[in-house]
Amino acid sequence: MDDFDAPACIERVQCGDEAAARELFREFHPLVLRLVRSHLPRRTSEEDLCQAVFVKIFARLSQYSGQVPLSHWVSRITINTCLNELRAEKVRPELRMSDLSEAQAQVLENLTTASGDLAASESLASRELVELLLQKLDPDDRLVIHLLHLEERSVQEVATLTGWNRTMVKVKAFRARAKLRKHLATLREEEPL
Amino acid sequence: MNDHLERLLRSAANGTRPDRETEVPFALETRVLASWRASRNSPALSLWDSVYRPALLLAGGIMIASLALNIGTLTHYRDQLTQNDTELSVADSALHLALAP
Repeated sequence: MDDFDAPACIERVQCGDEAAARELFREFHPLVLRLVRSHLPRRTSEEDLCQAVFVKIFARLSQYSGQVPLSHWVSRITINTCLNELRAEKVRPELRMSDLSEAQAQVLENLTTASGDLAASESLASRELVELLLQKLDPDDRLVIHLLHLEERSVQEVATLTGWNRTMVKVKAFRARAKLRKHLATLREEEPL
Repeated sequence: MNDHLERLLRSAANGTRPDRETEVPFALETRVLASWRASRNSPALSLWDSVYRPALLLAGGIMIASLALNIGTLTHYRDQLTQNDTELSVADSALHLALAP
């Protein structure tokens, strides 16, 4: 991304230079793909969503003012596209103990029985468990938890990416955590002791 | 419970999936560039598309709506016309009878 000259590339794309359009696509494909993979709705293919994002990026390129880095602008379009797709997904899946893998069930048990941080070897199962729990939340709640706690972004970064103000990010995060806590408690009540 | 969620989220933040392929798929690149090319080649909206056609559609819609709203009045007017015709023919026939030799 070091050699990439964003303003020059945008100008060339707007003049109809296909090589520049390809360069722009290749430059931002890894970023878009990473964000899409993190916020992918269950029934949408990542490639279709990537395509939708890039179509929007090219369509709105003339609206890019250059006040923020191009990568921020691209991230924001990606996040908003994912959010719209998630909003269109009306059904929230049921989550039961029987849906959990052995490792995820073990994480759940260790949360109750042990104190202190979970073992490093359990982090992948923890993440999968959190992602399952997140599917129970509304798209906005899911997004804020993902960005703040899984991607460990700051409140300011989340505000920039989503277009919400800092207070709204904090309020949404607080409410989302409360809901997540409730779903976790429901799941734990099911846990066979 | 607070502690459980915090611990779970902390652990989850460290859990990253093994790297999946991030190579640019050729088909996706082709589709995106084709869509960009198509959007560039499509002509900009003409005055007809952007102003006249919507205005014409709007005018047509208003005409249909006003006809629908006034259908009662029009029907009533037609009945009244028929009634007037009958009265005139009665008067005509009376005149004919009076003037007839």
